[in-house]
Amino acid sequence: MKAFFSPALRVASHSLRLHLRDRFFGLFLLFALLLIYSSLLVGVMAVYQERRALMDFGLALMELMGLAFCVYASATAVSSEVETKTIYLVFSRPVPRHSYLLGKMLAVFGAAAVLLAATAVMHSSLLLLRGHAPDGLYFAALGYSWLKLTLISSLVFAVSMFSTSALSSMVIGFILWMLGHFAPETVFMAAQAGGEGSPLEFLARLIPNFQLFNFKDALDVPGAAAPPALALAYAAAWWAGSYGFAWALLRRKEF
Amino acid sequence: MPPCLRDIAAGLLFFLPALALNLGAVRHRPPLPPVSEIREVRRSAAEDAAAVSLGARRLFADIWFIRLMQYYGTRESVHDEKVLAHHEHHHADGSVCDHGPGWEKGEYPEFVPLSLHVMDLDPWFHSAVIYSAASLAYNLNRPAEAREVLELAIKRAPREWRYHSVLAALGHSGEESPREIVRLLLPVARQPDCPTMLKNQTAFLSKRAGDYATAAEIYRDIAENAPEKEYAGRARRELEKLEGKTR
Repeated sequence: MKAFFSPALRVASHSLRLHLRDRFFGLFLLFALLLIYSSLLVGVMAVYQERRALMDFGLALMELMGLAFCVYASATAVSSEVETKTIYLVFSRPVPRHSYLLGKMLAVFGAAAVLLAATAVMHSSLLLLRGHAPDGLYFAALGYSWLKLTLISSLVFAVSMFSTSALSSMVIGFILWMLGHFAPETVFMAAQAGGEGSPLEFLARLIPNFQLFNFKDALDVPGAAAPPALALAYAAAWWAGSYGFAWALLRRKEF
Repeated sequence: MPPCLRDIAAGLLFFLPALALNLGAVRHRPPLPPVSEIREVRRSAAEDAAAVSLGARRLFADIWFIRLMQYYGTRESVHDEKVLAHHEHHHADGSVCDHGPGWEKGEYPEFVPLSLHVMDLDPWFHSAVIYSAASLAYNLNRPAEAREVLELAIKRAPREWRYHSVLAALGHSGEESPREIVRLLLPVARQPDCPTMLKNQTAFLSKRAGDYATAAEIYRDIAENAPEKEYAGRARRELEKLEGKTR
């Protein structure tokens, strides 16, 4: 067990440091902070709904910036090391491929958490400045957003193992994100059209349901998001699936 | 089978637990109107698709609500034409003409479609629903459309008690004494995120019903907390007038 996790954690901490030093991470962070700051204007336009507008814009912007970073970081995590030939150096040491892959995934999950936390500090400060203290629901929404980001990151990792370029992995990642939010609607529409068991419905069932984690879209709606334990179990199943798939492709890859 | 395909097939097996969970999980959808029930307004189809596929219906409901307020807060050009016509007519013979009730308030033909669109995206956005219904009923003299908005909102968010209260209050709007309307609207008006316009209306009706203490309470709330300066200023003037009556 130690032989599995110890190198993975070392790869994770090293890769996390690289992510945090990466200029793209800084750019995404800066862009997110600027957008959150500019959402003050939207709050003013919403008049007596300032709290709601600030909250919704902030949470959505944090998630979208997190998505952009996670998709980019996951798509390039392994491919950039192959291009720069750093991967030879790593595999010349006693680092098993499965540990390397786990470390890389954990680093992206960690960087997503840091990005969300940094933007949340700025956003909460803005909310407090305007007299709207963030409540428990706000932090729950952040938690669900993080789960959603880790889920898309793991899927992009899996895709990046067989896709021909980082760009195509990123495009597939964004498509999966949109399909994932649309999945329950697709099943609903297929059922409405009398197509229970149709190919469309079958395909929709293969896509992870991101609406389970979409707590920020339903802060006032009772029972809109999945209970935390279920959401975590669901995300864990997809992490494991993506990790297993990526490992199955990486283990025999020749560099 | 080539080795790469064999690896992909082996890798896909790892997804089986997630896919098994997905059979039940994919049916989970938030209690929001399905995409097929989102009506298009001002060529909003692309925006609506983005709202659903990015998981940001609440955010887009906010944007459409801001658009609704901007639309309603802008003088209609038809209104200016009416004023011009009225003045020309007035100055021509010096007589006072009757244009019917509410002619100066504007028509705002897009008000209902925009209100319904906000509700299609997020029927739990109670402030937007109440703002729309109250504006229609009390400012634009269109109570039937206000009822239509509220009934649809109740169908989609049946547990939202504020909608029931405002709808019940609308049912009493033709009565001589506004006491019953005040009783129904008061719990809604006391909510911190109640539209100022409805608070103002409730205070006005309380004053008409002779309940000066309640009227003063609501006007004080408006004077202290309303972000709209006109409402706050008017509330302060009303409070001064009510001072003698509440002592």
